Amino acid sequence: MLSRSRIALSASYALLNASKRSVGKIVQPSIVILNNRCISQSPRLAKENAVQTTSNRTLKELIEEKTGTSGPYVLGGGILAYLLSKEMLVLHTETLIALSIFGVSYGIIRKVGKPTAEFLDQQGDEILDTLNEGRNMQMERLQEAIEAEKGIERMFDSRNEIFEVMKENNAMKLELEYRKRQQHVYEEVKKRLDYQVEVEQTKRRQEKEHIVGWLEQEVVKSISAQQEKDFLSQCFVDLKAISSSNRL
Amino acid sequence: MVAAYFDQFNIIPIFSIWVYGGSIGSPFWINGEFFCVSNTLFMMSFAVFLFYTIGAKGVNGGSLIPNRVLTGLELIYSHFYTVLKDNLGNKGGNYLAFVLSLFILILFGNGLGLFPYVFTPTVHMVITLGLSFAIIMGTTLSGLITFRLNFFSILMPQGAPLALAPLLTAIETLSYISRAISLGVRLAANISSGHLLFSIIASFAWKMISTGILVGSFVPFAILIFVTILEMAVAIIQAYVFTLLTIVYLRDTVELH
Repeated sequence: MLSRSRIALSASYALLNASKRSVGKIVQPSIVILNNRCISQSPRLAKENAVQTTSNRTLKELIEEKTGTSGPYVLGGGILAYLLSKEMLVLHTETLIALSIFGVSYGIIRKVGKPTAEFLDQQGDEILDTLNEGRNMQMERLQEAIEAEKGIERMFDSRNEIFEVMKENNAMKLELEYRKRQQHVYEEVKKRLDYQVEVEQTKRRQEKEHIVGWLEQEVVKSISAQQEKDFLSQCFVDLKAISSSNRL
Repeated sequence: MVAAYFDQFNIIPIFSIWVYGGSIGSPFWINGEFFCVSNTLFMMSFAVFLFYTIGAKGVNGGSLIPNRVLTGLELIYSHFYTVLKDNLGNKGGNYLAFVLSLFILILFGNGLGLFPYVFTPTVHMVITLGLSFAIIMGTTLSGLITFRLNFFSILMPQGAPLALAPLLTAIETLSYISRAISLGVRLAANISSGHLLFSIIASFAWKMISTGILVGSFVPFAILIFVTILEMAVAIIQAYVFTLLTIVYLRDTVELH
């Protein structure tokens, strides 16, 4: 209810201003921008952010600048003394009532002024939060959408990594196949070469055996019966000589 | 000396418009004070003007975010709207402007009157009884227009035995008529008694100060401070009570009990 009445008030204010400026024309009021001024700013924030200028300083501060700390009090006391001496301010019963009223008012303002101001500012901040609720929700939704899009982007980045891994995998497979085949070729070649070596060695061995056998045959053939007999008797003589030497 | 305490309640004409015209005996004969601006009228106009100034400051150029003044006014507005809704239902919104205006007028009238040399319009029965009589007559007429002769059923309490009807009706009628008087007299009596108390205690304290009893004058001055706080509360409470009772009396125009 309060927000509707406020929007209605600002709309009516805008219409009033519009009608003042353009009599006879129908001007669509802008609720958010009014007289080129943002009307959705919190007064508390505007006050906090306000630049300290001459116009928004108190009279006491302005006098203190020129006259010092006691200046305002001396001025006030002097004015009071002047009014009393000239009997412009007459002291009587009403003076006590005035003292009482202003004293109590000052005390009440000092006591409850700040908490009341904070409470009222809080109400304004709550209204600002309510007005910003839709905007904040929209911003949160958009932020979530951005994060989701970034997640999809990251998924595509990981796809490139998968491609690289698959490429490396394929390269390794090719390398493995190449080496396998190379090994196979090596083994086959070695097999053939070993066979040739074996053949060669077998041939040589057989030739050697054949030559040795032939030589034995020829030597045996060349030994006559008389030579054999002489050789055997010599062997007996040598054996006797050895055995006698051993006995000694 | 006693009469001096009542001098603060004197209605003083500030300026008057005197008219002389017509012949004696004619229906258009006016010879005398036609219009008078008194301190009463001035103070009530000033109260309205002061509220307008405060409210204009609060509007803050049509800003969506209210400043402190407007937030305070909106709290009052929403409170009375809630009370009207609770008492009068959906038709409560029709009376919001009237109820708020009444509250603000009486509140500012009472509040401004607390300051020295300021006249309090609500001290006078002519103002308060004028308001209360107008309210009661208005509610009665409104009730008669809405419910016609059935409106008089409010004079018979629900659930009461029929044998007691004549007596109860008479008592209820007296009670209804006395609403007008009590509403006005309550406000005037409270405010005027408070102001009298102010002037009596202040003059007592001043007499003590002027005769040299300075230490002793602290006692009546302390009492004066207490009375000031009390009167500030009474000013707000009486305005609220007047408005609240008006809302209660307005209920008779919306529904019969």
